[in-house]
Amino acid sequence: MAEVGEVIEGCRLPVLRRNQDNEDEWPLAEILSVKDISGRKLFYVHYIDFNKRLDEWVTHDRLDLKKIQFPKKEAKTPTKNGLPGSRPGSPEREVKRKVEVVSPATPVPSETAPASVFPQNGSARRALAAQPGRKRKSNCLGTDEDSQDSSDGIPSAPRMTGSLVSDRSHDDIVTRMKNIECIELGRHRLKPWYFSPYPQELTTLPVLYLCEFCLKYGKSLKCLQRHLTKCDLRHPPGNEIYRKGTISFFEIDGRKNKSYSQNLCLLAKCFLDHKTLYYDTDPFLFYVMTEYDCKGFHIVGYFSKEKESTEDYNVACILTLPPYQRRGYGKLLIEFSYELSKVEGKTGTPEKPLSDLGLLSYRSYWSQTILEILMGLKSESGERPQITINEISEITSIKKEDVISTLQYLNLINYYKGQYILTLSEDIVDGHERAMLKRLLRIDSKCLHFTPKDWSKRGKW
Amino acid sequence: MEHHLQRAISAQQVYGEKRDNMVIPVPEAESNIAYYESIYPGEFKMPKQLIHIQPFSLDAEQPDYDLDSEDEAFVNKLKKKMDISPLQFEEMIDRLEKGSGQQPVSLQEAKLLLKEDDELIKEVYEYWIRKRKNCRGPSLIPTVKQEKRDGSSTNDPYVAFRRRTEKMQTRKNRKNDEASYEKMLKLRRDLSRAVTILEMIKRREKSKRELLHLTLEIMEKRYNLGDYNGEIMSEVMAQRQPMKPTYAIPIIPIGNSNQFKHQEAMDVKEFKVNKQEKADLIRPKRKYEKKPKVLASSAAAAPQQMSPAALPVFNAKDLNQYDFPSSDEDPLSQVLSGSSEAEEENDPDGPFAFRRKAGCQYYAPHLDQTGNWPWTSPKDGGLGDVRYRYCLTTLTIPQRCIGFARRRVGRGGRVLLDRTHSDYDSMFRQLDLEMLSSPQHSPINQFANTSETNTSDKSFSKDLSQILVNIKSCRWRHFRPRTPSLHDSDNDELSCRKLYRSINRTGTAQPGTQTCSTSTQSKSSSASAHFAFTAEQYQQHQQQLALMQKQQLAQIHQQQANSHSSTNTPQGFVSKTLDSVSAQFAASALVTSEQLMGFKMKDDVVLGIGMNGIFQASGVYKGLHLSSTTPTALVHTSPSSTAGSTLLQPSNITQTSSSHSALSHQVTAANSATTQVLIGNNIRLTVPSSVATVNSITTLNARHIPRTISAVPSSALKLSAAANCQVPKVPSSSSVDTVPRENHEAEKPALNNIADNTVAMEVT
Repeated sequence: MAEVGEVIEGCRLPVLRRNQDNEDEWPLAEILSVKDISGRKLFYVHYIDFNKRLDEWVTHDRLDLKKIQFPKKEAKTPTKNGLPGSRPGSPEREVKRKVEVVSPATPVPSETAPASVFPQNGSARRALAAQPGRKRKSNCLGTDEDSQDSSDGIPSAPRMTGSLVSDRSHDDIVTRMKNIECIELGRHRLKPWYFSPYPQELTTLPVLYLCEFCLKYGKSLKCLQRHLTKCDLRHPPGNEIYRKGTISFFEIDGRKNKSYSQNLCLLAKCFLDHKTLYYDTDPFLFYVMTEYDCKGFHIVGYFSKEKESTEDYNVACILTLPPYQRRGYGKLLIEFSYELSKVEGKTGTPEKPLSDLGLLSYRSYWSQTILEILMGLKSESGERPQITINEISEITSIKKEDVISTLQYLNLINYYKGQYILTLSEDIVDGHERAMLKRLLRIDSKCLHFTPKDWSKRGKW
Repeated sequence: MEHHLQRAISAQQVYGEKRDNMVIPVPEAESNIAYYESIYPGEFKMPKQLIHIQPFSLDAEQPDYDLDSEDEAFVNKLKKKMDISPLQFEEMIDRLEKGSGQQPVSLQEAKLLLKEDDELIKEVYEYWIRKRKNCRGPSLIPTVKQEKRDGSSTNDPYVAFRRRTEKMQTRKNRKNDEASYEKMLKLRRDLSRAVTILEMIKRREKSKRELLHLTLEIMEKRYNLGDYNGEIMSEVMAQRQPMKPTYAIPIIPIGNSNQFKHQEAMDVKEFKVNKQEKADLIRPKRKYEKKPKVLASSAAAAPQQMSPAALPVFNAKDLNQYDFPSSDEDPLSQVLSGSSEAEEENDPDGPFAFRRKAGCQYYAPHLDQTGNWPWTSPKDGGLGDVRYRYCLTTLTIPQRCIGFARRRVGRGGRVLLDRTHSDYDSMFRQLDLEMLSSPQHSPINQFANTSETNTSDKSFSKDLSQILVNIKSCRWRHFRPRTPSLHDSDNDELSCRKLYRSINRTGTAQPGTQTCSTSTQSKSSSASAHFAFTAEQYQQHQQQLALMQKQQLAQIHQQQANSHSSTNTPQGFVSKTLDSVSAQFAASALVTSEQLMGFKMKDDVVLGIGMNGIFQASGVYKGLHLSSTTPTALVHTSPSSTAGSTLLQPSNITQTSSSHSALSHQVTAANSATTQVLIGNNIRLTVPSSVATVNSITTLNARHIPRTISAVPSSALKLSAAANCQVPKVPSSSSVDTVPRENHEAEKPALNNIADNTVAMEVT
């Protein structure tokens, strides 16, 4: 039994947590930070094997001090050797990192490595072979950065394309912790999940007030009220390219509308772990999905997209704001992104790494979309219908690799007697039909008014 | 792997079996802000159309600063004393904040920034300074941290939205990018060149204006001084000579010196103009000192720019006006236009005269590159291919003999017949094909082999028969397209050479006669012809020329002139047997050609000066010794020309009207590389004007100088013939058109000077 005062960073102990079923649980957690507010000690805890977004400040009464494990003095080998997992920096490793920065052999905290999970075969093994927790795109400059890091200690600037970082090695104690306690946006109060570089002086506030239309941040309700007298926006400041019912999509150019794009990114960063705000928003377009009511067009979610992607990305970051999650909006956003790709006549794929939620949403979307096509196939003259992967890809604009991985993931594709056979089991068909019944929100391509621009001939920066 | 994700994935994989408790937990969100309705403004009606935002409509001039509760209290307090609204307060703070960098602005600066009363400014400023001091952020308007210039902010997690300073790697469209980059560079270069050119034009125009003003000033001064005959002027000019180098037109240090070359030309011209204005002559020696410099510099400045066609052909019109080249005209083109204008006035070519076409750029012929054509003689750098020798040619349709011609393949595979003149041309026309076809071998050597023998009064019929004999005996080659009876079998070297030589001789016969004929013709021609001479000569001979103008062409004069010219030196004007006037004129004519040759020796190109009609005295003198071969050449060659001349003699008087053009041709030919070439040029240039005259003169020459025959240098003859061959290569110059007309059809104006080579075909 230890005293509260002895609890320091790096300690591990069970912490009381109420799960979504309102049941008390005592998952093992690690103390990441301790602060003292008017004599009351608060501990920033990370629940081991839980996503970082559930990290929180807790009071001492939620700590099970009886089972505390103090950090060992010497650096030890990682508990889960080689396996990507939820690993916030333990104090030793933190110390170690501070001293010698990051040596490639040291496993780096990376609580989410969803991409390694994503392809069930092959990729996962590759992930093991690669740096644990550092799965990155093949052309990522990460290795170079690492070597630079270990050599001169000054991390180089990240690559300038894309919007996500897969390499969390630059995470420090600041970015590992949420810095905004609460955000008020319209009629919602949001609890941020991750760090976001809002102005530092605002991070101490109990609530950050955002204008729900221009997303400008203010420090107080008074400021928001004052701002609202001056702000006459009632919708995202872009062109509406889609409207069906109350759902609209607005297109915003990251170069022409900097302040909105930046505000949107700051907000999105609160909910996207791997999003980087290192560089400006110029090379991106932002597609903001809104829901209309009498007050105006309220932001529901958005996705950003590189004006010119060299890697077939049709989505950079994608987010449904927490109040709207689990209601089909995410899939709607994904569907819209593929509609755009269809208009462009390209196939696309989301930028990696996908977050856990993103992965689930995409996989669900891919499954439903592909199954929709497969089940719609009519047999010709009694023979079994045939379709190629390429055809599926062309119809859906889903990149071929994603089609294949989805088919494999659903275990639909089998190699039988010299050819590939797609087998749809009863379970699959039933499950799909049930899922489609629930999927009421769909994109109507007739409502899309979108002309793709050739950004190679424009200034995209 | 994360616990929740694992569960969710395993749940998802059993498709359709996803349960609610398998969802990934996220921090909760509230959605019931009580005051939402009150703080957000009321109803917003959905527009019927899709919302289309106007660019830049977002930049409403609203202060970024938002009043907080503390400010509100302050404003309310302040309101009691002064007039201030929350918005006004926000604007003031906004300005103060945006006016400040790391350090807040001072009160003085604040007063400049703000437009309010000093009192109010002071209150707000003090409040602001106090608040800012307590503020934890760098600014009262919270902003995302900017990157620092020194790059030290690379690691700061609060720094966001850094500029992408490095140029992004171009990947897919790398090629395009590079190409367009190159294009941009080129565009930049071109534009900067355009700027340079405009700059230069500006300077040139300025100089021109200055020149005009100065000229005007000089004229006014002279008028005031009563310097009507130019005495004061010339004195002044004489005094100014030593200082000449300082009197330089501003030279722009750019490689392309077109601009001042014509500036210099103008300089000379202006001088000339001044003189022209005076009724009296200016003492010429004053000028001698000045001119060489001008010539040297201008000739050196742009050698290739000069054109033979543009040599000093002058008329009164040119002299009497300030003829500055227009700004957009190349000096060269100006020169060309001047010359062709002069010709037009005298109308040597009638409707076929060369006229400059608007929008066309005319280049001077590259005289240094003449030759390397197969039909050019080796002496002139050509190959001298025997295939291109001149031979007697007969056309099938219409069936007749056109005299000496040579075939070559022109553009597009056309067969061109270059015709040359021979004195038998009139006879050739009479040649009957039937006569030729009958094989008859009775060679008459005396006629065919040597031109010496046929110097004088041969009867026409005899000539004809002799020619026929020659042809038939294959001593002369005769070209008849696709005539079966033509037999080339005995086409041996000897006969070729013989023919070649005889042609050469007939060709070279003309130079001598031509020079003489020019001189005689000049006597009777209008005054405009005199402008081809140097100003000095112009002055020297003015009186004599005035006399000559009145004279009619006479045989005796020609004789005297010719005989005199054979012994000629410019100083040796005192004639033994000649009428002194005509002798002098003949001499002057020779001098002219010598001058030209002199120029030639100095520099290949004399165009710029030629334009002004002013030749350097030094040029003249130099020309004298250089041209020493000329008279002899003239003499030597003259006897070889010949038969039929007697027939034509009467016509020479009527031909004089065009003689001045012959003179001008002669002048323009001054660029030819050697004296021989000059002679050659003279031949073809003058022939069209009057063959008859030529012939008559030749006859006379022959009579007077029979003894020189033996001394004919064959090389000179060949050269002069070669000079003839050069003609087709100078297409734009007015001298070009002469070759096709070197026959007795000169009276037929059907020869087109432009299509000079193809004409030969058409004429028939």
